[in-house]
Amino acid sequence: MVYPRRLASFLFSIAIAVVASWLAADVFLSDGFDPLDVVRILLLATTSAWIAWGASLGLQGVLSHKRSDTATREPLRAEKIAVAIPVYNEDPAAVMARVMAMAQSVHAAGEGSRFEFVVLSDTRNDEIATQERFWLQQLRRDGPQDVQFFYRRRDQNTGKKAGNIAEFLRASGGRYEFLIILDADSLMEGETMIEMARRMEADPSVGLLQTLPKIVHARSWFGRAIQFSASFHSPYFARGLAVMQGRTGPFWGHNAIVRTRAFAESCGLPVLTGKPPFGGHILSHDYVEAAMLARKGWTVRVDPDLEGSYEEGPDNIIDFAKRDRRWCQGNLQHGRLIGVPSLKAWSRFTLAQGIMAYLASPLWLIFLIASILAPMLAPPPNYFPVPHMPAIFPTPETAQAVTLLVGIFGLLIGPKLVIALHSMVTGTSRAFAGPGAVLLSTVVEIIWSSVLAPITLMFQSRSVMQVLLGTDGGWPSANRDADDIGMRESWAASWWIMLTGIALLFGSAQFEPNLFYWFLPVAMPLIGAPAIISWSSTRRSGMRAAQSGLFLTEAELAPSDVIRAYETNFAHWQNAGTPQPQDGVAPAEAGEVAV
Amino acid sequence: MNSGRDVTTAMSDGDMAPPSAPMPMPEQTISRRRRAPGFFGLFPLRFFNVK
Repeated sequence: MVYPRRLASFLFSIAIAVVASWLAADVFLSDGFDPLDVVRILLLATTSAWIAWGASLGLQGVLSHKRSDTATREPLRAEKIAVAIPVYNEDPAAVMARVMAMAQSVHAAGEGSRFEFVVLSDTRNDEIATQERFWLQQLRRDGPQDVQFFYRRRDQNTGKKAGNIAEFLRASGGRYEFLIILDADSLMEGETMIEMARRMEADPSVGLLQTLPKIVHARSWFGRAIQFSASFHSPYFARGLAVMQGRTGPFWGHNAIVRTRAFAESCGLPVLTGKPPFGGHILSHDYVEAAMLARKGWTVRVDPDLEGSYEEGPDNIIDFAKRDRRWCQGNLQHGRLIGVPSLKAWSRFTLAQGIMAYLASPLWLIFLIASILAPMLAPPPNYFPVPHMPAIFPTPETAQAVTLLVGIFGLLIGPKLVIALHSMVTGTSRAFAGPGAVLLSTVVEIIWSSVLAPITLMFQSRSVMQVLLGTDGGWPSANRDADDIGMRESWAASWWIMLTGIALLFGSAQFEPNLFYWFLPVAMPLIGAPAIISWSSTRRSGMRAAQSGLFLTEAELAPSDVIRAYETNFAHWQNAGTPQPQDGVAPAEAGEVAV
Repeated sequence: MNSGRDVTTAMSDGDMAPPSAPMPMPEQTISRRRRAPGFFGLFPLRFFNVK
């Protein structure tokens, strides 16, 4: 079923691109032909095909059923499974509270002795590193006794996260049959980790099994909107991806299990020649590792039916944009890897998709600018195309323009509405506070995404430009506990977006007044960017959303055991006060954690 | 839960490090075989050059 589904999605995208080009040609050529019209039509064809591809994933997800054929009840055989938690200047107490919760969970499932949690520190800050050691000893003291805890800090963080994992495998990988790779903010149920290992044992050809992590603990409006979308919409999109992936699935860098031997023999990443951003260490290593595993014949799979997999997300647009800047550089760097020999065609396509995810933004921006400039290059109107006949005035082809706009917007929001409808019919909406709450959240999320889209378009366009100009974004640590963004900080980060919005409106009013009202939905969010960024980052905005019944998720309404255990552990440790340990000396009584 | 293990004495990273069990992880080859440049070879793009 893989190839027909792929073909259906390809044909759907191509058909949309053809229809969009045809309508665009009608609209753009109504005032006569100029070269910019060709550019605009090509840009619109490309971007509409891209949007259609995304929509097709969602629709494929709705049409496919939850897979249950992969579930297994066989007893676990693997003697040792490592759970690697790479950290880089994170909050040590929060990280270790998560590790504790997961250890408690595997212990409660009766398989604690098979699991070893390894904190792989690349932390550069000595004070934080001291805290990491302190909390690890706390774990060893208070954690379940059948679970092992280890800690290793590197002197140099060569190769960043991929290098950190690789160094661990080279030093200790021989001890483990499987390796569960997490992020510092990952959380997984013990049963989920055990089931992942069981599925790996059930199919020896699987080299990597990816879960779909759901976002938890969002506090702001912005964070909660993403949390809802990741919990409610993403499983459908992931199912759509799963039915098309075949043996060449994705790796998203964390909340996944790998067969240690397969990963070690396939994923020793080389350093690219030249300097960053295109040279140096491979930044977005996960996509490449998935491609390398598939190249060696291993199956890479995403199983969206695996529940109990969580992560945290950025709580404001600025932190989101910072992370996006890193991903953008990593994905564009993949341009050098698409031609790597022996890669599966689907792997190359996945790398290309990752690049397109970022190129789409500047393409839209160029399209908008070209639309303002096009009338200046248009030939003067010819009112008398037929001599001695009455004058013919050019028509603006408004109907086609509206059809085009509605079509593109429909592709963006259609899948979300279909998903909402599907959840109401199948009853899955009950887990999200019922059909009414789901419908309200979906509509508000669509409006919010529309407001947010021009702002992220600007951030992404700037990121792409920076990378193409050769600027390395570095590796900023994630700010997982960000406070509200004040207007001053927001203004500093987005004044240029506001100016762009004003320029777009001014430009359209000056050069193409017909476009003025069409540009308002794009320009107004840009002009309001500083206020939008600041407001949507506040905890108050998040609380207001929750109190209004907006963006409620399953994990929030009925938190699973591991989420509650983490919250209890963290609160307990926080109440005990942040200790000031001597380097390497364990605390006497920093707070017992109930298991 | 208290495991009963005494960790009140100073520990170095060595004490906390995972046991040694080396595993080979060879660096993968990603370079392409050199072929005569085709039509597109006339227009090289720097980000399509692989190590």
